[in-house]
This record gives sequence, C-alpha cells and structure tokens, in this order.
Amino acid sequence: MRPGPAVRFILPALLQMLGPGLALYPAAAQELALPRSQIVIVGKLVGQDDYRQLSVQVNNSNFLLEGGDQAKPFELLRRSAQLLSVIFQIPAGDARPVSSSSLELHPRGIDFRFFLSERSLISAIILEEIDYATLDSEISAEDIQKATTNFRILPVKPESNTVEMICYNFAHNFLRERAVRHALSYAVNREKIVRQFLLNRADLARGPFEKESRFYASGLKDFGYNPKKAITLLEEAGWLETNKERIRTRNGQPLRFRLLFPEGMLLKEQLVRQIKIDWNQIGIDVVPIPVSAAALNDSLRRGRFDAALVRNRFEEAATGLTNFFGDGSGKGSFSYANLGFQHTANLSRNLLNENGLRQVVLRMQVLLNEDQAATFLFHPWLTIHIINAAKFENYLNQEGLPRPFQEWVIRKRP
Amino acid sequence: MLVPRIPIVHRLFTRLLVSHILLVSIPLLIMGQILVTAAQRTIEQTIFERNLEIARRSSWPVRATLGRARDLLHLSAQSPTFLTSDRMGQELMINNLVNQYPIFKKISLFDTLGQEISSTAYGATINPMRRAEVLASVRRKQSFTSEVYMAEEKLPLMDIAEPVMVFEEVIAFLWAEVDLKTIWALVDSNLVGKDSEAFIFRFDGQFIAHTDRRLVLERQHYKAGDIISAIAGGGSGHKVYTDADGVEMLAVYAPLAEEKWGIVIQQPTREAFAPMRTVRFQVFALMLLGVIIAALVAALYTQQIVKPVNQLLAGIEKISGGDLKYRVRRIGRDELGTLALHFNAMTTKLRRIQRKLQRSQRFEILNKLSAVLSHEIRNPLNSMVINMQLMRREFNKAEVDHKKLNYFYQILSSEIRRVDDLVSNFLLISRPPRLEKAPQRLDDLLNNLIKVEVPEVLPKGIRVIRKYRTPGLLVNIDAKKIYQVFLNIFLNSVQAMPGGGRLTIGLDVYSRNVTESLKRTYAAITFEDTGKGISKEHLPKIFDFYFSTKKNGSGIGLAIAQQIIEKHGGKIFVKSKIGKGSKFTVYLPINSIEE
Repeated sequence: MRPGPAVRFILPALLQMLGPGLALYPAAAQELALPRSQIVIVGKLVGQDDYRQLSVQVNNSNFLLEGGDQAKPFELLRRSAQLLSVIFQIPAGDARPVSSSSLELHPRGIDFRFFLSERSLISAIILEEIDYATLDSEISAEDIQKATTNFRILPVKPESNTVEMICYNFAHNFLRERAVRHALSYAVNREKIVRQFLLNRADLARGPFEKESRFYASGLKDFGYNPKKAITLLEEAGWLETNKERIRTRNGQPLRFRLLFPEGMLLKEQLVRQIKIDWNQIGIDVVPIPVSAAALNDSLRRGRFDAALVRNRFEEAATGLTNFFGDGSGKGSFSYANLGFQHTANLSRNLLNENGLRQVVLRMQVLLNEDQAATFLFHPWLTIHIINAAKFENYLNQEGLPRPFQEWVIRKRP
Repeated sequence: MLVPRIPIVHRLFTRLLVSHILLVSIPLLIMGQILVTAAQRTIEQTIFERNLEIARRSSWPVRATLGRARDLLHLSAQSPTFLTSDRMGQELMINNLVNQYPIFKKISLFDTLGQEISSTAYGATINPMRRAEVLASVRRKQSFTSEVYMAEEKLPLMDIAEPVMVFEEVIAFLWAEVDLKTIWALVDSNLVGKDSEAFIFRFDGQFIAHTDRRLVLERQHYKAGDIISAIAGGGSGHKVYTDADGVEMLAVYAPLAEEKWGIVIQQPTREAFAPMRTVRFQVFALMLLGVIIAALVAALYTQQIVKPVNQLLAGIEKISGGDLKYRVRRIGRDELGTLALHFNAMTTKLRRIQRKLQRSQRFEILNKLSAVLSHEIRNPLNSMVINMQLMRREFNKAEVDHKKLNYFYQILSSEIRRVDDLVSNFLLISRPPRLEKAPQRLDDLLNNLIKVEVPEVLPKGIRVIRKYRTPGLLVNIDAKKIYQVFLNIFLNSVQAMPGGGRLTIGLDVYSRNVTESLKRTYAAITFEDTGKGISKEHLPKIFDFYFSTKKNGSGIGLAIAQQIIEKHGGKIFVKSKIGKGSKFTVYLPINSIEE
C-alpha cells in the first residue's frame, strides 16, 4: 500500500517550512496569545495556500509573512504546524492601553489555521472556529449557508486571467511529445467539467487570457473534447494498446504518468477524477497525487513532476507567460523548449509599442496553443469569500470586496 | 324630554341592556368554549398524525438513499463488465461512481487478502481495524455495513462492502465510504415549521444528521432517553417534553430499524399548536364581535322600549308640577302607547275636574263674601240709617242737643270706618302680596319679635322659651312680611293662653325627598303654646278668610299668614289638642337663597 499524501508530501513540506520557527513554540507564543475576540481567524487549505506566499496587507502595502527585506508592521509567531499568528504592531505614537475600547475596535492580529481538507475547514466554519476563508466550491459555500446565518457568503470574481490548467513537464520522456499533449487535451471533456462540477459558472479556456483581456487570442485552435482524435493521435505516435491492463504502450513503456493536484479540495478532486476517467478511456493511465500547495510549488519550481493541475493568474504582459512557462529555451521549470516562442519572447523585451507587444503576446499564445504546453481548462467565475459577519463589520470596501483585515471592525457584543 | 335622575345602575335602560347582552353572551360563550375545545382536540390530533406521518415518510428517502448506495455497489460488484474488466476498467467504473454519486466519498477495490487494487481515494490510508471486519464479512460472501462513525473532518461516514464473486468464489471486494452528509439535505426537507428541528441519530443518541449542523459536527447526543428507548424498541409515536433550554417541544419519532437509527421531527408546541391559537383567537374574536353587535342591537332596542317610559315619566313630573296641559306624544301602539293615551285622557279629566273645582271654589268664595257683606256691611248700614234718622229727629227739634248729635256722629263715623276696614281687608285678600326678598337670619328675626313682644306678654304670665337647634339659618325672604306672619302666630298663641302659659319658639332644619334623587331642605319654625287648643271642627278652617273664634277677630290674620308663606314656597301647618295647646310649624325653603 502506498503511503498517503499527508505522509509523503505535506509533513515533509510543513516540517521544512516550519522547522526553524518551531523553537518559538510554545512558551513565547502562549505569552503573546491574543483573545479570540480581538483577532481574525483565517482558515486556509494546505492544498490551496502556500504559507511562503501568504501576505498581509497593512496600510495599502502587502507584506509577505516571511521573507522580503522590508520592515514589517507585525510580528509573526508559529504556534504549531497548523497555526500561524500575526500580531499587528501598535504605532509608537499610539501607545494606548490594551483595555482601551477604541483599540479593540480593529483586529489586533490574525491567526492563520491550516486545514488538510475543505470539509474540515467547512466544519470549522460551521462551528464558528474560523472568521474568514475563501473557497472555490459553491456547493461547499451552500453547506455553510444552510448551517449558519452568521456568515456572509460573498462570491467574488477572481482576478482577471485566472485559469485552471494541466501543465506538462517537457522534460518527461513522452509528455514532451506534442502528439501526446494534443491527445491529452483532446481527451479531456472540459464541457462536462464546467457543466457538472462548476455548474456552468466558468468559461472554457483556450489560452491564458480571458475575453476581456487585451491579450485575448480569439483565433487559438480549439482542442475540444474529441477522444477519437486523441486515440488517432496516440496511435499515429506509436502508442498502441498492447498492455494487458489496456494501457497504451510504446516499446514496452506504458503511457502512464503522475498528475499532481492540490489536496483536500472537493472541486479539484472531482476535476482530477473526471480527467482520470477521460484519459483512462483512451488508454492513458494517470496516477493522481494530492499534494499541498507548498509541495506543488516546490515540485513545479524544481521540475519534479509529470503533469500538474494548476490554477494560475497570468499577468497581462509577455512576462506573464514567460514567468510561468519559461522563455522557450527549455531552461524553465517546465523545460518548455520552442525556438519560435523563445524568439518571440526575446522580441517582447525590447518592444515599447503597445500594438506590437499585443501581437507578440498573441503569437506566444498561438505557439503555446500549438504546443499544448498546458491543457487550459477554464476561467473560473467565482471565488467564494466566507466572512463572519456576526463578529465583524466594515469588512467590505466600496467595491464590495473584502478590505484588509486590519481595517475590519469588531462588532460590539451586547 | 326630562330624563329622571336615577342612578345609572338602577335605570330600566341599563337593566334591560345588561339582560339582553347576557342573554346573547352566555349561550355564545358556552358555544364558543365548546367549539374551541372541539377544534383544539381535532387540531392536536391532526398535528400529531401529520408530523408522525412526515417522520415515517422521511425515513423512506433515507432508506432509499442508503439502499441505492448499497445497490450501486452491489450491482457494480456483480456486473459482468466489472468482473471482466482490467484494473483500469475497474478504476474507470469506481471513479465514475464516485463522480456521479456524491454519497460515495471513496470506493476502493481490494483483493481477498485485503490489499488495495485500486481506489478513488488516491492513496488515502484505510483503517486496518475496519479492514479486518470487512474481510471477515466478505469472505462469508456477505455484504457489510458498518456502524456510523465520525471522520476526522467531523462528518458522519459509514462503510459498506460488497464481495466480487466469480463462480460463487470471492475474488475481491468493493469497499465504499458512504458520506452521510448527503442525507442532511433530506433531513432539512422534513422541517414542519420555522422553529422545528429534524434529526437522525444512532441508537446510542449520537446525531448523524441534524438541521442544526453544529450538533453533528460537535458529536453531540440526543438526550431524550425515553424516545431513544421507544425507537430502539421499534416504536413510533409522539411525545411532548421540555428540552434542556426549557422549551416545550412536540416530538414525533420513527425508527430506521435496519440502520439502527431513529428519526425525530420536533418543534416547539407554541409553533406546532399555533393554528389552535389562531382558531381560538378567531372564535373569541367572533364571539366578541357577536357580543358587541348584540350590545348595539340591544341598546337600540332597549332605547325603543325605554323612550316611551321616560316620556311618561316626564309627563308625570310635569303634571305633578301642576302643568295639566301637558300631553304625552304618541309613542306607539303597544301597551305603553295605550298607557300614554290613558294618561293623556286622565290629565284631560284632571284638568276638567280642576276647572270645576276652581269654579266651585269661586262660588264658595262668593257665597262667603256675600254672607260677610250681608252681615258685615248691612249691620253698620242699619246702624248708620238709625243714627241718621235719630240725627234728623234731633235737628228737627227746636233746641238741638249737641251732645246727642255728637254721639250720633261718633257712631256714624265708627260704622263708616268699619266699612272702610272691611274694604281694605278685601283688597288685602284679593291682591296677592308682593315680596321683596333678601337674605335674612331667621334667629335674628325671631329674636326681634321676642324682644318687642315679651314685655307685653310677661305680665300676662306667659313665658317665652327659645329652642334654636340650628341658629344662624340664612333664608331668602321678605323679612317684613315673614315678621308679620310670626307676629300673627305669636299673638294667636298669646291669646290662646289667657291665664298664662308657655310659648316655645323653635328653629330647626328639615329635609325631605322630593324624588329619589332630589332632596329639599327647609327651615322649620315652630310656635308651641300650652293654651286652650283648637277644636277638631275648627282646625281645618283656621286658615280660611273671616274665620275666627275670637270675639273681635277679623278672621284674616292666619289666612294672610298662609298666603305669605306659600308665596315664599313654604308651608304652614298646625297641630292642636283641646286643653293641651297648639303647635304652628312654618316651613321656609332654605335653598331659596340661590334662586
């Protein structure tokens, strides 16, 4: 029996992340502990959020919890493998007593609690152990809404050009083949995914940019669901069904690879299961492996993966593409190599002309599309923010989006 | 119309109105109470039965959901496709099952040694304790269903397993984790009211599904032991009990015997029996409306009855006040209308009698006057004629005797004065006295009288005694005329005691009820002597004009006294006993000051 993902990926990753800081725990942390009523308790999913990329916005500036050179207006405490605390610093000129009611109006700190599964997080929200969380699954949000009225369920459109996709490692011995990647893209029933699991609350994606983007490429080739074409492509590439388990093989090598995906998230599990079904149907054996966000990031950065289910937001620039896929030289995380892409990427560096830049980015997208460097699945419409409205007020800005935690106001309880 | 001043509770209108309202209200209240009681029982029974039916029926979809999960797993395990499929084909099937049926959290395929062949769980570990149980069951070629247990995620799960058999030999088994969260929605659909709760629990009381999710997540237990016992015994029914928060709840329960679960739907009795309260309110509102309408109708009807009675009463008051011309208006054709007709006829007759009486009184006065005239004028006239003849005879004599002439002249003058006095008295009687009223203390008036007269009467052996019980009484009177009255009575009393005696003058207050609500107050002035008294036959006549038992009495003193007193709105009475004395009482109204 294989060891579970918690054993294989999460624990090492968390230990690696938290190792040096654990010395602080528990004595100092206990001394600095703030009452629940004075902090925002943020629920995080291990599969969704990489601790190292967590940031806190204070006075219109984003501060990474860890790293960065700038002085931070808060103190970070690691209380356990699942709990991180941020205590805001009180400005020197604002040294009011702790009991001051005006000081208690805004949260004095943030607790980040990590959960292994979305279900655990939802249970914690229903039990009001968590004040704020974000979810991808509308079904999960509905569960909360049915259970408690204390929470504000706030669907918010994710940042533009956020796309869910399957990325391939070009260093992999057969995923580097364009025919295989084309076959994989043709075999994924994206329409069914959007219909069945996203309840049609997403746009099918052909490339990284959404229709509203100036870089949206309308002429990209559609790799719509076509399993027959996928089979043809595979057979033309020499992948035949010779394995006793009906897995396609070539030269005795089975068409099998691992697919990393964020663990503990209902939607991702459903997506991966459907992708596995779709690929199984054309004789591709995929082994889904749930991993934490940190482990996934590490794997992607180091190129230690076959394929991965990734959600990424592409910056509206040529660098948005090159930062993710590499410059086409084969030196990036994905080992993506395409001379045309490399040339175009290089060209973009010297372009100041807006129209020229657009043409270059469009060209880069065409090349990525032709290569199917990634199977673009969909642009999600919604991210669900869950806010404890019984505990806080003033948590939304004028655009109806959540404010930085420090600006929230703690409701006075009667 | 003059309404009699009767306290409201004693009025005919009030009594009739109250009796009418009571006549309507009492049967209405009794009927309403009977209706409410009957409705209450019916509604209670209906609510019990309805809720119980909902509880029983709600167990069906739960059974169906679990049964479908078992059937799906069973069919998959027995499916020829599954049996003949390679690993990937089997993976495909179980992945499809999990993606299509959310009740399956994960499905795994194991060989008979308990080694995992494939799983939708992507490497999640499986509890080895449960694996032993499952293996034992499937090796006996039996399906397996575990107890409900709580996952780390705090959600209720249940394991089911089905053996995969070829030629009656177990070659593998499918093991599914059933996510019981899927039955939460079924429980939600069983709510019977806003504050109601529905839940499913194990026989040990632990909640599996609850409309309040927190109770499941917190792994709480249902604590109504008797309901749990009843369900464990396979019973279903209802119970009203008070929960831990002190809320009275109506709970209906039914067992899910196969799963060893129970289902309860409960709601606060205040909500469950709200329709009952509505019915009660409506019935009482209707009753109240009925009473109000009855009261209005009764008020109108009573008014119709009482109005002619009041008219008759007003008529009686008018007539008793002397207005015999008053006629009661036509007030209907009923008995009261007839009474009014008779009443009017009676007043007509009374008026006729009054006129006759007045006429006869006039005749009597004329007779009396003619008798007085014939007696009182003829005698002086005769005397005058005789003395005139004697004077003429004396004038015819040669030598006139002036002494005689003077004597005759004196007689003539005296007789003329006598006639003149007579005429003056007539005028006094015929002209009613004109009063000049002013506030006057009666004790002062009496004291003045006593002060003036006592020196005269003391030598005659008469002692005057004052008995003023309420001195200082102020009345609105013509003091001169009242003094004259008192003097008259005083002198009469003195004359009645020629051999001396005792005259007691009293002053007191006297009240009498004119009607039940009207009281009048009088000053009562008494002159009580110890004289010879007045005989019974003379007593009724002493206030008549020209009646006197005295030699030189004019017979007008007491008559005029009575006239003055009555003009003041008062009365004069006399009581007397021969040989004992007489008592004159004068009543003068005290409230006349305000008039």
